[in-house]
Amino acid sequence: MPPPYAWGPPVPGAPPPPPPGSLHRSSRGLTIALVVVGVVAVGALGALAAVLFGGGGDDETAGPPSLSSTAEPEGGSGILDPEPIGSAEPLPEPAPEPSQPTAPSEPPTVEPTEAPQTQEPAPDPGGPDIPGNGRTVTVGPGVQVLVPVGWEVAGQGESDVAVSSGDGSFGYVLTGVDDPSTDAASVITQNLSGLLPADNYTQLDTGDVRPLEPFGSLVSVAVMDYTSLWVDAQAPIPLAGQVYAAVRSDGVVVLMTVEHTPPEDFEATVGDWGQLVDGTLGLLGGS
Amino acid sequence: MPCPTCSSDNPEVAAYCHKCGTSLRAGAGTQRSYAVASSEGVCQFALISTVMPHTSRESADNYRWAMILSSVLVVGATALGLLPVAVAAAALLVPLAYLVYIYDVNLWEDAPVAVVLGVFVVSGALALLVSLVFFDWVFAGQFQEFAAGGRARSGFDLGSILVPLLVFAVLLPVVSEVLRNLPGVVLARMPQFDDMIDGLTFGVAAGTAYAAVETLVLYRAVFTSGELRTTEGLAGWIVVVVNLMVVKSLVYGTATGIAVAAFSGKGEGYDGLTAFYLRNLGFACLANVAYWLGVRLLAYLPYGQALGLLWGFLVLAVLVVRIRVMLQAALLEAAVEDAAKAESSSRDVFVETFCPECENMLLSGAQFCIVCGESVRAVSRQTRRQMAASPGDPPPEQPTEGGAS
Repeated sequence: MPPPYAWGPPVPGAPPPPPPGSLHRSSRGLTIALVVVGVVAVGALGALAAVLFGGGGDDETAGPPSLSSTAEPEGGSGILDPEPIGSAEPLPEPAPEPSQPTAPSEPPTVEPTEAPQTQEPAPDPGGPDIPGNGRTVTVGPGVQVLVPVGWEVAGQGESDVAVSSGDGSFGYVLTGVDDPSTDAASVITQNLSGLLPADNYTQLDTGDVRPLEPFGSLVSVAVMDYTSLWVDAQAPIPLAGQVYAAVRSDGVVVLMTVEHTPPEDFEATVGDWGQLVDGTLGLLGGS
Repeated sequence: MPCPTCSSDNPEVAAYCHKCGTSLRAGAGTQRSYAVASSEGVCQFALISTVMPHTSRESADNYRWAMILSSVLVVGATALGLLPVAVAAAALLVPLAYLVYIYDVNLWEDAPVAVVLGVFVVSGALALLVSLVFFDWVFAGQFQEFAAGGRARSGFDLGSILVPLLVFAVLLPVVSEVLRNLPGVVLARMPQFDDMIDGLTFGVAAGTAYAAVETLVLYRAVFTSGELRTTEGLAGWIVVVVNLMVVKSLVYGTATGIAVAAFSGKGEGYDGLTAFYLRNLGFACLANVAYWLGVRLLAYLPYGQALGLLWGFLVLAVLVVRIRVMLQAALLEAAVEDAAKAESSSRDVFVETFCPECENMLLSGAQFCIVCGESVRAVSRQTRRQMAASPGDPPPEQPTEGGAS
């Protein structure tokens, strides 16, 4: 006699219960195989897409045209001394290409406008003591960095500052001191891994380090082109850029990167980021 | 033995009421197992049984192993520097597993192929459009400010990234979450998908599909850079790929799943645009905002990418527990209501069959296993079909629409 439960007995003639584990369409092996094979197939498609759309390298990367060889960083943490020292005063009047180095003399006359320590008012943009238009911030051993009109300081430390145009161009200036006889080209190669850290700058493709004609109180200047993919958790940023190194007669060293994204527009925007390079090196060299 | 909650009669050996799932064990009080996976606790961080609620303990293991093996392959590809391979596979790992799951639990049969694929395609199209609008067409300059700020080693100026932060860590996640709800909500209105678990399933499907397409669009530079193999910075890439593969995909999926499940509501029939849905949609938006704010701000700290990954796991854990608590409450409350009204549910057991979780016999008319407390609503469609009526008879579907529950 069945118990008097409310649910009643099972329906007579019901189908036999399925064997354990058979209540899903796929077996263990099939489920795992479907997922793993699917992931492998998608990965293969990703590789195919890279081959088809990547175009085989530099031709499609659209970096600076001078990217022809790779300058390997020499390792180490670089030669820049983080301790700030005194600074050469910029020449009061612009001098396009002075040939005689200027010795350090007095503290800088243009106070930083963005440094947290000072917070002094910015000088009049386009004033006579600033090449080009913009304002300056002072970092490290009194090095003045020109922030062109329309650019903003994105971050600043004691010896470095990052600036941005808000339109795809960025700059980063790092300062220190070294032996004045140091070659600017070696400053770039010895500090490359620290300046463009591999954790952020992946797929780094560098060009030759080229010496430039020094001017004013600068004794050595060099430049190097590069393209890279900036790593970000939300979206990576492909970019092209140049790294500049300048050594002044008093041993003050400036390393500066200018970058632009998308990389194919790097040269076309030289009028934008070029102000940062010209202005900052001009102030450093006293021109 | 009468149930203290719904007064239904149960066998003396029953540990749970077969009608409302109330624990009948002495001293059990409100402590009970998770009704969707009775071998687990309600507040346990168990990913597979949460986002794939129709799986049994055994089938959940299949997906666990499939995901582990696939993840190892993806991380291995990243470690070898094969970024196009790794990013593509990482973006689509969870959606692929979910597609197999939908097929496996027979939702595929109830939802025509066009419907299932439609969720993925529509979600993907929305992701494509939103990504292009935010990252290419309207706010490209603002996004690049993040990279500019990241170059300063001695600190960054929060003011300089305030606008990008508001756009990409607040506005974008909210807009995306609202859009991701659309395909799931449309499906949740259909009579055959009116259960809360169905809402959760299609919400997760929409969220993971959205995440996959967004990743492919935003990381397209990996495919167009001309570098099939990357040799440097791979440690950072492994963190990023794991974030894309697991955390981002599941944060999007679980957040959208919560909102769409709330749209479905408890019991049969969907609740629609209720205050409960709006609260959960707000919670989903908040979770997305919290995730991206944390990832963005932590990126400026040493080991920022890794910290962002840990933060993502924390947000994901909160979302997973939220789903489990919500489903648990909905299943039990709906069963109690049915029992109180003495109504039969289309999910009741009508023939002799067995619990897919513990393999003990289910009682006819049961909504819960009396041994382990597993909810009949949480079993696969394949199982449910075998529980319903005699061979050849259609299941006793009596769906109601528009806030019937």
